[in-house]
Amino acid sequence: MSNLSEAQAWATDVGRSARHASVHVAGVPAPDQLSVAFEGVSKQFSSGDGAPRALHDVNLSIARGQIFGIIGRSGAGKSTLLRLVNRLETPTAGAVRVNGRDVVGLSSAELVLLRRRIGMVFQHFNLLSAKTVWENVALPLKIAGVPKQQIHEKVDALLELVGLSDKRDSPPSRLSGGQKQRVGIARALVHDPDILLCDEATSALDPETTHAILALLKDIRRRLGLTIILITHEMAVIREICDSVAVLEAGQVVETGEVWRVFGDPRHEATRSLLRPLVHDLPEEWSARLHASELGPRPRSEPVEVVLDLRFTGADESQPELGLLLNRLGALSQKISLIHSALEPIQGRMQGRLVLAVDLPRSLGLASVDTGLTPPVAALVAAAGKFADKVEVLGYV
Amino acid sequence: MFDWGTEYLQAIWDTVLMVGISGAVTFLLGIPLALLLVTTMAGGIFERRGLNRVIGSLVNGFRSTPFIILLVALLPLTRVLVGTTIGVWAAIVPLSIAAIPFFARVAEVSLREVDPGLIEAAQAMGAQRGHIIRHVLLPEALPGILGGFTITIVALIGSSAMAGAVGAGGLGDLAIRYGYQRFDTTVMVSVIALLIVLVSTVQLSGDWLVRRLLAKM
Repeated sequence: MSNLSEAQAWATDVGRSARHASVHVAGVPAPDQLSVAFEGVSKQFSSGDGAPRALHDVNLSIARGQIFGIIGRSGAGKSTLLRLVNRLETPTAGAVRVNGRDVVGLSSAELVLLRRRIGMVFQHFNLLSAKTVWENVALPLKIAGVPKQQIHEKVDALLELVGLSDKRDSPPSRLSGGQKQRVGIARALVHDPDILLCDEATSALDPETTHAILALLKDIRRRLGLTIILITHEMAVIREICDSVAVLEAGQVVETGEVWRVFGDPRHEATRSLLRPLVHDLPEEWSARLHASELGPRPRSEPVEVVLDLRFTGADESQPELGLLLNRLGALSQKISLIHSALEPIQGRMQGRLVLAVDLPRSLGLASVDTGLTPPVAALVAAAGKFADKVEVLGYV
Repeated sequence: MFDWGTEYLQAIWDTVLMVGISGAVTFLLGIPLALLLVTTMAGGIFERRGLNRVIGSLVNGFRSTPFIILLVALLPLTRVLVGTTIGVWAAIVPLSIAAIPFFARVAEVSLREVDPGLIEAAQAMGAQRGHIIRHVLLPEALPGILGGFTITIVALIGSSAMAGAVGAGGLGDLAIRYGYQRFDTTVMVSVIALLIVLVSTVQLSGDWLVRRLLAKM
């Protein structure tokens, strides 16, 4: 498949431009709707392993009530970026605005108040082993000098929320990973924060527990309406709960936008590489049989099928109309078989690919100089292009 | 007539008094010193590298000086602090001053082993440095600190044997005067037996306490 030249891999936008006009383009949120904004943020430092790390001119706007994901490979700087929000790290240049206010110049007293507005959850939970579950959740309030009665009400309610009321007197060491993270989340919520920072909150958990913790985070956002900023190296986490995502590569934001846009049409190599584990490739038995040309090493009398890859990026919010698609293609060919499909809704938008093998009519005609496609194939591609966002000819069998 | 019973009881009492009081002083002053060492080091919550180096050198200096020399060198200070240079009280000053840097280093190791993530979590929740010391560093390092304190007490029992040099008495002094200088093997062996009982009691109680703490973690 890789030996196909780009000229043969022909994509069409025909028929889509009209639909595109109605697609809502996500604008920049109004300033008062912003929870966190990074403005030209840079940071130079050397990490523990001696490798120089840095953030370069990061600009991001995170709207209130969003679940915003920051993804990148390890060492990309996402952990540092997250810690700029509650100023566990200080930028060397630029401004980090939380609820409109630059956190860089805050005094230590103001910093304490800021941090009470921002909860934080950690990859390794960071629970105090010398304290019980209840005491761990209560600690932020105790430190803030909240009256005992109030602490009791709040902590009991939060343990209830995360489903750990029966473990209140256990030390954290007796809990499973998922339970520990629930305690971490309860502790982060104890001051009724506006913002919840999640530092690889599910990376130390198994898939099932990850799913449960993400569901809890979604539920919390729905109930409490807070903004959640999470960093992860797993695209699956972004897909599962985020509204928007920023891709960080070597200290720079290389791509940002609504999750369905970034997933449906990744522009940067780093994004594509992070998405790779989620991409379903064509089955081996098909990719091995593909030929670059219609003629191929076969007698002219044998039937030829063209393999079409229909991509859905989610730009159209409606569901792909398969009936119509098949009718159109059916008018051009006798036999259409589905050889591979990977379609799923992301943020309610159907995304993925549909790979079809379509029997070609026998009259082949001459291939176009521009596209390398013969008229029947070009007709098929044009017809499919009315339904999919991108159509590619993978080859011929 | 030499009263063996009184002599032994007096020696045990002197040892317990010397080790008990200098142990208490060591605990009370050693922990702040250990905290100072940990919090002022590079990356600590009160990072002051210069101060850290000065204190570190001072601690090393005291730890390098043989106890018997410290005992004599500190005589003027002892006179100022307890008003005398002989007897049990005169021994408590050099014993404490020798044990504090030792215990501080042992406690420092335990404090340094507290997961930095816990400190970060505390900072993220709006904890100030005092809170971090009280709610994170000390409770998390407590089992290690108590284990280290047990070792310190045992070391103090050993050092207290030299306190005879300032007439402080104690079990070690008894062993030296009767057992070593007068070749009285009976006294020597019985004193060593008593010391074994004392050291074992301290070690076992320390271990038990640490185990109990760890069981709750």
